[in-house]
Amino acid sequence: MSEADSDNASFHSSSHEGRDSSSGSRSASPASDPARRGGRSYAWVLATLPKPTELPIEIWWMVLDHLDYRGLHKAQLLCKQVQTLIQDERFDAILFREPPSKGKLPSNMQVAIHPLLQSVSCIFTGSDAITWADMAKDNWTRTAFEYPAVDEFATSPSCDIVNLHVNTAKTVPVTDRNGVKVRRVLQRLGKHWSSKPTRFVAEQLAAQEGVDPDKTTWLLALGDHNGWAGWKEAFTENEGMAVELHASWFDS
Amino acid sequence: MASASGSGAATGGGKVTLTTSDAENFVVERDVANRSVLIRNMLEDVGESDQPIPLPNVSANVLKKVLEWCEHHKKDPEPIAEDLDDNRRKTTEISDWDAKFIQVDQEMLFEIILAANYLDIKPLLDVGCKTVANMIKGKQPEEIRKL
Repeated sequence: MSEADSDNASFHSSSHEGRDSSSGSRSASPASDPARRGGRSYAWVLATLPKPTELPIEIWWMVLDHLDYRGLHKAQLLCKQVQTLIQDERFDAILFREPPSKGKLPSNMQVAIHPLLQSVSCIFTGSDAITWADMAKDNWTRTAFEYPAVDEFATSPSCDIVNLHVNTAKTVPVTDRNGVKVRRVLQRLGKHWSSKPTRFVAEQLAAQEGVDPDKTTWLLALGDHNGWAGWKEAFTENEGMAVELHASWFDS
Repeated sequence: MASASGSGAATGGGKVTLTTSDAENFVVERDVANRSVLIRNMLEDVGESDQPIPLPNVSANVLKKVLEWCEHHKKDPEPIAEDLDDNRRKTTEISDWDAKFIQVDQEMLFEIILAANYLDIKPLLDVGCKTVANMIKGKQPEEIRKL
């Protein structure tokens, strides 16, 4: 079974493309069990999966039906064939790509919150008003905008109006007639943090910090309490016209 | 989960002989063989008979494994169809016994899935598909990077 090993070695590279074209031999020797190998390389585990071409499509449907958002995204890396299956509308709801229904959503219905939105745990705004995603697994910091998932809907089912509750003073409405996407939520948040607070808050801040009231921002109002860990359970309100998103604060 | 076990004809005691693609014979209790809807239907069609049932799509080493599962699950109530659908996405949990049973190399896992599909043993097929799903889920890092 050394053949299987050499197969796997080639999958070790970061490229997942073209693995279908490798020889049809199944890489299933006991020695290729990931656990026995110490390290669990992502690409390597891919190679230990049944080659998609070896499982009939009807079986793949059944496998995919057991996968959640992250699982489906991982499965997309397997091959074009599986990728095509995942385009099917049956996965739209799970993958946050279901556009808003023309009619209203039922009131007080719980909606799913996009995982990327849940992963954004820190907000910093500089002059560019950028929302950062603090992804623990990354060694470098990337903004949430660098993830393709940012163009998926913020909630499932999606909605035209999402009201963000990020602090007690003000609700931040996000609207998009075609359904509010993660990107829009984050952009709106960034804008919110760098915008002027209400006059009352501005004056209080000015007194506290000794700054010009006109130069204060909502971010300044937060002080050290500028982070939250995801969002609380989201529900539709206003008779299903809007989704209410409440930040789940830490450090406050 | 309500029991919806098959008709009386196929639930009898006797023994059934199964012949694999590589011409090996397995003699099993009818209860065990009945876990396969394919075999159960065949038995119902044929009625009482000593004729071995040919399984041209299953080899001996795979059938042995499949029958081990059928033996352990021969008393299980038959899940109703909607039940299966409903529970599907909710969980990829597998019972301890099944999890241990399905700890096989990938080729065997694959063969078991195909055999369960061919023999129409839904709960076993489900275990196999969940296992593949868990393999995909278990893929480690780069998660969010790949979103």
